[in-house]
Amino acid sequence: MNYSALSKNAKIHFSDKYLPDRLPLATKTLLFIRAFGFILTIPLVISLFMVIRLDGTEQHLFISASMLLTFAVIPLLATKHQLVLDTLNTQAYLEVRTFGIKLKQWKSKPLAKTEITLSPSVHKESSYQLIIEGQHFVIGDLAETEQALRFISSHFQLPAFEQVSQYPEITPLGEFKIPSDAQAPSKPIESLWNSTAWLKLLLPLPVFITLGFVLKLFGS
Amino acid sequence: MLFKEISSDKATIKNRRFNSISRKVIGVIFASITLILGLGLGRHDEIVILYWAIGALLSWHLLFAKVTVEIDLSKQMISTHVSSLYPITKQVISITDIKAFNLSSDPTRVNRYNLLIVSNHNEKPLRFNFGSQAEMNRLGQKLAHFCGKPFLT
Repeated sequence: MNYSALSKNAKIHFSDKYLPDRLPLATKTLLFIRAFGFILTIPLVISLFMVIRLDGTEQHLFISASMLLTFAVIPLLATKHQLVLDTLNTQAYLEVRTFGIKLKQWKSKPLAKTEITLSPSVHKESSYQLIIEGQHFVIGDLAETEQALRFISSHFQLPAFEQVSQYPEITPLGEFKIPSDAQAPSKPIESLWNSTAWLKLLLPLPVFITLGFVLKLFGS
Repeated sequence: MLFKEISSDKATIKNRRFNSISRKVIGVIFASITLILGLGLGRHDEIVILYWAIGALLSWHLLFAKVTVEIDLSKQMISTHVSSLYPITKQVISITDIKAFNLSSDPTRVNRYNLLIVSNHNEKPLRFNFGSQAEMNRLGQKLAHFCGKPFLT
């Protein structure tokens, strides 16, 4: 399968920058670091604006504040915390890079033991996700998620699993078919709030109306 | 929502004590307001009686409405009863029909998650409870562990 055949939603998560050899995937920690960096740019912009507007000691205060914030923001935005699937040494590992320099690499695992799972997403109805080493990548509908799964598992030789056809259980990906209603449906569960229940809530109302008329008679 | 084990095969789900007490306090305030207004009804039109009756109904349900959830492993039943001094509605779910418990975000509300009961794939999962993500996670894990069913996240 070709990279260009992947859907747009899948290409957001899987970039082809280093593709024949490596595939870096953004972890949840990276998203937190990015978000923190972007939030810190707001006080940075404000203090830069104040540096232009103010004079004297006030200006010096904001110069030092903006220098501090710059030194915090730039490394934060330049840091990459990612899960890398590497075909050159057939390993999957987590790494931290700042300005393109590798600082740390840990949790190395051979690719043949790294599992990739397709499962329904919690966050949105009828959307599906891929799970690699505990990292979730919500992609979209079943067809494009399955396509992305087959692309990655064939390119990196990962063992593939799915959680859709026999819903709660995780099974190895084989001849994939959308679950059929083969099982005889058991007695459907009745919903708690039906129209009789809503009407029963109004049951004391006639009593209160008569009580109101009685009180009015006594009052006048 | 608090999950409470009574014995090895019985459990209930209860409101937090703070929630039930604060609802009772608001109910008492509401009821006393309707009572005071009720004494002055003689000076008003007939239509005001209807408004007053609706207010009284609201304070009645604030004071007395109660939801009890019982999980009975010996009967393999999760039964929910809603009552307000008189029975309103009930629901009985057989534990043997449950395949798993699941957590899902509510599409209509921000930061509200539903605890779902998955019984069959072709059937829509049943919404059992709702609340924040952390609260539903805790409740779902305890409930699934107690019933011996998987909890999917």
